[in-house]
Amino acid sequence: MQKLSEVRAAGGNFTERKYLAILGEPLILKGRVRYRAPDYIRKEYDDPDSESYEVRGNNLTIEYPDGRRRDLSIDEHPVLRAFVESYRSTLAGDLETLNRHFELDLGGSMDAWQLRLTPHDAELAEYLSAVVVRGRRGTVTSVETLEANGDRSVMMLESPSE
Amino acid sequence: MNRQRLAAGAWLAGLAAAILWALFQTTVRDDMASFMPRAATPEQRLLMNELRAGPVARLTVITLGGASQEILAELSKRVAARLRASGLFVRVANGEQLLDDAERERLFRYRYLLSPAVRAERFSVESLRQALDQRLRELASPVPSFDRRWLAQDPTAEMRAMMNAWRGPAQPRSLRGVWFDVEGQRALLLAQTRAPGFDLDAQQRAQQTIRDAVGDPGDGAVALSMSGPGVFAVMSREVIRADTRRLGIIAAVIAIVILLLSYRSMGLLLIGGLPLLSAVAAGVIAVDLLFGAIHGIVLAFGVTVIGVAIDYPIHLFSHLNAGEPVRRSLAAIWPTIRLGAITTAMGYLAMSGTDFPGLMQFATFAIAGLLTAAAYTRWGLAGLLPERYVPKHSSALAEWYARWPQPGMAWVALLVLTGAAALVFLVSRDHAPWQDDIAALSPIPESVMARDRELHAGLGVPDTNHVLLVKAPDAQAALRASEALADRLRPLVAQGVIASFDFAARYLPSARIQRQRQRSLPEPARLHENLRQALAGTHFKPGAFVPFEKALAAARTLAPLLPRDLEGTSLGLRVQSTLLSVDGGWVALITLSGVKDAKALGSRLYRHGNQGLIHLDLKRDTRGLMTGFREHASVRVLWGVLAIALVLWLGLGSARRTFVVLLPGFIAVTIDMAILLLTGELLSLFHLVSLLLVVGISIDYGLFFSRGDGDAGMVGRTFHGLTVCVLSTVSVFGILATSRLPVLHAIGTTVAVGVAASFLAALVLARPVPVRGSSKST
Repeated sequence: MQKLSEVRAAGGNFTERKYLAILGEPLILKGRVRYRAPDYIRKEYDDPDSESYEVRGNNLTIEYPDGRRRDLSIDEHPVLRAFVESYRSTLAGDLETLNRHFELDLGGSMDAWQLRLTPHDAELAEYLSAVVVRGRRGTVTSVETLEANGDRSVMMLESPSE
Repeated sequence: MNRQRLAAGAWLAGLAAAILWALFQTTVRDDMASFMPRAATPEQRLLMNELRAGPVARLTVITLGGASQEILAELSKRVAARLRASGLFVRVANGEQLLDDAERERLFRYRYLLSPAVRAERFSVESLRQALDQRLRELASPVPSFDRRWLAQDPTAEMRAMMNAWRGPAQPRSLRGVWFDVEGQRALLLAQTRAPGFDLDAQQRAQQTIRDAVGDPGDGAVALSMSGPGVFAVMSREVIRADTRRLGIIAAVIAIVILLLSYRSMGLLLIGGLPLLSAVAAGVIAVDLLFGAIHGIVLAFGVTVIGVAIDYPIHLFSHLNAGEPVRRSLAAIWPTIRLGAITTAMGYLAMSGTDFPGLMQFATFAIAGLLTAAAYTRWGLAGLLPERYVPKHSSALAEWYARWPQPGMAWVALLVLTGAAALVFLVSRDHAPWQDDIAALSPIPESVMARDRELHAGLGVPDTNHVLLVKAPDAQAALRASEALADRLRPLVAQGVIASFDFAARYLPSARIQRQRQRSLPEPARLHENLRQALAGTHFKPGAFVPFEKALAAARTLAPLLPRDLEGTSLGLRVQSTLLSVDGGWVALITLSGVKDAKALGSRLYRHGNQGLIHLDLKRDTRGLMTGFREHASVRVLWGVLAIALVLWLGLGSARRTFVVLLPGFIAVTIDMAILLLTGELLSLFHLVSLLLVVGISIDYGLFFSRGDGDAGMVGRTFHGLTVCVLSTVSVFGILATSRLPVLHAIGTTVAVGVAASFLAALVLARPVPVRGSSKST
């Protein structure tokens, strides 16, 4: 965590796989993600659609493929908030925020650590079982979201850069 | 003598009984409804009913501020849960999911009959394919836009289409799952009471329940505020109660102090006070008997009749002569008192035939009170005074007046010119001086009303001023008629004439529409085939939507959902509040919000002629009612004045003296109106009533000033008496003018100014007219 808090900016291409019960095969989404300390995060999809999601503080701006924009607060979407906080606060090494939302369980070694985040909030826990963030030293290599209904998604950060 | 004592005793006993009756038998009402004109036509009745009992009149906006968003959101949820559990509210909305599991399950089952998106093309291969693609995109999005649990049963998202149709277009900002204002500073809740808006006790209970539900969350920092028709009605009542009590007490104290200072006798005060008590008791009982209840405002007005009723005993005291038996003085003065009382009562009689319950109560109170006070002075008072009684006068004033020479022509000219100038001012004003806005009768400050309108607009709450009504023989016909109307309203929304509208069929369509949708659903084999083609090549599992096929097949045989099926559910309550059974028929209410152009709305609605459709523009219609009523009342006032003149002429038997007695009143009323308008006041019915009282009082002054009493001492005492009268009247009504209630303020200002002007005018103009023959005059 100490190492992570020194990260000023991070990002790279990602591939996200969603394994959902209703789907015969996983959904594969590709794009780029960028992080800037302390609380900026942007996720751009290239495939299948070129949507982008940008979070500053608590504000989320969605840009749709047709250029429409929508502003909302991540507070309105507990699952989204959980995802944003798990990724952003992990990178920021913000233990305080993480502790507020999750039960933390850190394991592994410096070169292959794993942080398991289990939500405190009962309402959120109805949807979300846990978020597992994996990484190597100061970089995050994957974020896995485990939903209560058995669905899960894994975001692999393919070319982590400083 | 004994007979007089007996009469006095009987009167006292009667008074005691009357006071007991007034205290224990009388119902005091204090809502504002009595101060609205009584409805004459069925449309007006619907209008007044809508104002007092309609769904919009039952809405309360609750705001919670002064704490962090987190605390406020939690509090909003807790408050909403408590209010829903209280059973006092039809609907409590705070942005949370409103349906309980059972209700949601039933509505989910009926989604193919209730969703406005359902039509045959919805289930073609092409449309299904589009829907599946859309769902896949939503699954891919990091922002979940629906509950994934329902996907297998509802791939075309009918439940969502249904819920979206129910949600208003103007949605407040949603933070942490509940509504907030634009700044995110205050949580917003919308509560609709079960009780009608005019049931003030129930409204007050509901508001107390809200206060209790908010309670004290610990840090004591949460600021609760409530707004809405029910809140304002209760607030008005508080103001009415507080003001009538406060003003009544102050007015009584002032009258007592003035009497004590003037006559310096406790006994005289008690004796003089009896006619007042009799007057108030008679007024209360007369109103209670005729109307079944008395309004608080009328009671406050009645207490100020003190200011006038006290005049009669004062006139008597002024005319008691040393060495002369009380009853002889009384006999001499009685015709003048009688004439004054009758003329004043005549004026009010003109008002009593009107259709305005509040005004009728005023008139009844005044007539009963004044006649009783006069009668008491004649038949009750003599028995209570010692045989030959002369009150002590503070004679300095009396002597000054007795020595005062007749006012010169300069004074007369000045007064007449002032009156003429006032008249010219009144006539030359080009815009009408009338206040016909019913809202002006409310004691609620405009700033509070403005904030309320702002809150309502933010929440998409219907405009209180515009409602459409469709009448039909049964509930289904009413639903169908409102659906047809909705088709014509949609273009108006698109053109910006109105912002949105709401009606029962939006939540529960007519059985006809439900059957139409049912008929458009494909047969199971057909749907299976369409779905198979649509699924080919997608990420979805081949058998993923079997639950959807089953649900759609089941929906084909469902019986349409009827209003009575929804009884007891939150949706049912919403339907009931706008689909009403009235006089054996049914009425569907269509509430409008954000009406930008009322004229265009009216003309567009009636372009094709609509049987059974009524557009209530509450502001326009109540204004129309008020205007019509005020014009009617003005004519009556003129007739009243003519009748007064006639009675005076008959009573006095002299045209010249009649003129002398009436002239000060006329000048005073003219000056009074000019002063009111110059100070920016708009005249209402209540000013009109007050002007009648001014005319009545000015006639009294004119009569007494022009009596031409024989000796100088008597003239001085008359002046002393009249000074006491004017001081007490002006101060009592001056107190009334400080009220926060527009009605009492209007009456107070008009009478205080008018009576002061009357006194000055009568002092200068109403000099005794030389009487031929007899030296005694009336």
